[in-house]
This record gives sequence, C-alpha cells and structure tokens, in this order.
Amino acid sequence: SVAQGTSVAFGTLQQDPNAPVELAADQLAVDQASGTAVFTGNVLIGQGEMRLSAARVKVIYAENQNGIERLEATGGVTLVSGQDAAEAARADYNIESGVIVMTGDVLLTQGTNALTAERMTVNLESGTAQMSGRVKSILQPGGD
Amino acid sequence: MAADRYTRMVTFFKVALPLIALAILSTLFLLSSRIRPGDNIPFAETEIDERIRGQQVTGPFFSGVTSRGDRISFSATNVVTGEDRSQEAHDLNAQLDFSTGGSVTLEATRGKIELGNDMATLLGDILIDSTTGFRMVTNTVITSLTGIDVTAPGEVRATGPAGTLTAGQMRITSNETNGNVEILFSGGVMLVYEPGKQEK
Repeated sequence: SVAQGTSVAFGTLQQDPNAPVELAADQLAVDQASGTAVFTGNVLIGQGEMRLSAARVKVIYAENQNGIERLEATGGVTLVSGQDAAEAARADYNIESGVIVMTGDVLLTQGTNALTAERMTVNLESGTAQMSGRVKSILQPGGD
Repeated sequence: MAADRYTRMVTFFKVALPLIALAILSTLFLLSSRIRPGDNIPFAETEIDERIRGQQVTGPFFSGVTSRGDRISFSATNVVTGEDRSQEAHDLNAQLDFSTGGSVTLEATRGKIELGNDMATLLGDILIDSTTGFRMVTNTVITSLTGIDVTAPGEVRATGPAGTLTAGQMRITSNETNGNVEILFSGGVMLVYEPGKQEK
C-alpha cells in the first residue's frame, strides 16, 4: 500500500535528549581554519538506546560555538533503537531537538514487516517516526 | 647685667654649636654599616659548575616562515648542549601560525632539539592549544622545525567545543586535498558530548 505519510512508533519511548552523546570512529579531522570536525571510518553515534552508524559524520556547531547543533551522517546510515532498525543514504541528527531526519531510500524494519520511503523523521523523545514520500510497506506473507 | 649675660651666652653658643656639628659629621662615616662591594652578587657554587660544564643558551628564541607562509616560533628558558651533541631545551613552547588560518601553541617541560634532522622531540606533559577550541594533552610530541608537521604518537586526551575526546594518536599537518592545516586524530577516536551541560 502506498501512502503519503505514515507515522509509526520507533524504538524505545522517552529517550532523554540531554543524555550524553558518544561518537566513536577511526579518525577525526578538525580543520584549523574553519574548525569543522569530520569523523570518518565506521563512525558510531550512541545516545541512550539509540545507535546510529555511518561512514562519515560531520559535526555542525551551534552558532556561538558552545556545543553541537547537529550531526550530518552520510555514506550509508543505519539507525537502531530498541528492536527497530532503519537504513538510509543520509541522516541529520539535530541533538538539541532530539530529531533525526533520514533521507534517501529509507528502509524501516520492525519485526517482520518493513516500510520503505523517501524520507523519515524520527523524534527520539516521543519515540515516533513519520515516513513520507512514496511510503511502501512490504508485508511478509505466511508466517503464523 | 642681664644684657651682657645674654651676649655672653650667644658668644658661647656661637662657638659650641658649630664644634658639635663638626663632631657629629666626622663620626657619621665611622659608625655607618660596612659596605663590602665584594660579596653583594649572590650565586651558588653549583650554578658556576653547571655553567662551565656545557655550552648553554639562556632564553633562546627561534622563529621562521615556511615556504607556504606558515609562521613558526620556538622559545625556551634555556637550551643545554648535552654530551651526545644533542640540544636539550627546558620549558619549551612553540607557536605555529598557519597561512590558511588558525594557530596552535605547544608547551612542554622538556624538549630535545635536533637541528640536523629538522626535528624536535617534546617530552613531559605536553599541552597543545588550538584556535579551534581544542586543548590536547599528551606525553610525547615530535615536531618539524621548518614545516607544519606535529605528531603525537601516543595517546591524546582533548577537550573541545564538541566535548571531551581520547584518541590513539594525533597529527597536525596540511591536508593533501585542500591544503588546509588540520588536526587528525586517529587510531580509534572516542568523543563524549554532554548536550545537557551546554547553556541554552
């Protein structure tokens, strides 16, 4: 079935947006002139139950340089929270608002059924996800 | 009667007072404390031996500009030439200003400088401060004296605008693609960022 927008529950509820965010990677390059920081080499972002892995993550600082505004994860992204998992080409994780926007043929698998879409917005705090843009759900026939 | 008693008193004082003044003045220098010019430069014997033992440069300052226009300057409290011809610097600090923007300062308690192979090895607890807001601490740093190439082979702990970070090693050099100078943490990087702690 094709729908314009579908909202589903995603991951565990009440993820605290102020929980510490851990970034692990093989390398981190900090450009001296502009100060931008780019993690490369199987980067893993972790916060509470949420795990976001990507090939490359760029850190975007808040304007007055105190803290991170958002993380741009590119090069193939996998988001896992609780038993739900979502894959996409790219994900933008806005730490301040606790919202992850995944774009580029998003595939969400929850238990047996799977949903694909162009774009998915996950709100970690409320544990909900909105999928939009040619949302298709793939039901597994058979099973119990 | 009273008049000549007064004049006799005046004539007596006219003579007595200058004599007393003369007496005070003359004894003044006898009683003053001895100033022995010989021993008012205090220094210890060990200092002399140390000075004699090896060549020593106090407060050396070394600065230059690389071919790309980055400014490099080193300074230390002193540099002693060791037996094996190597120069050992104390309280070394270096400032690297990059032509592409930004700058880095290094501070170390000790450093071995080998001008021959264009290298300085900084030892002790080294503090590296960068204009990007990253402050790094490590225990060994090898840096070139004439170019931008700072390597910390050992573990580096850093604090910065993005939180606290540990990395296997760290290198500051110019990026091959865009030529900008960058700090490259590698060998496994772990950063912890506390969103709660930032003041909104």
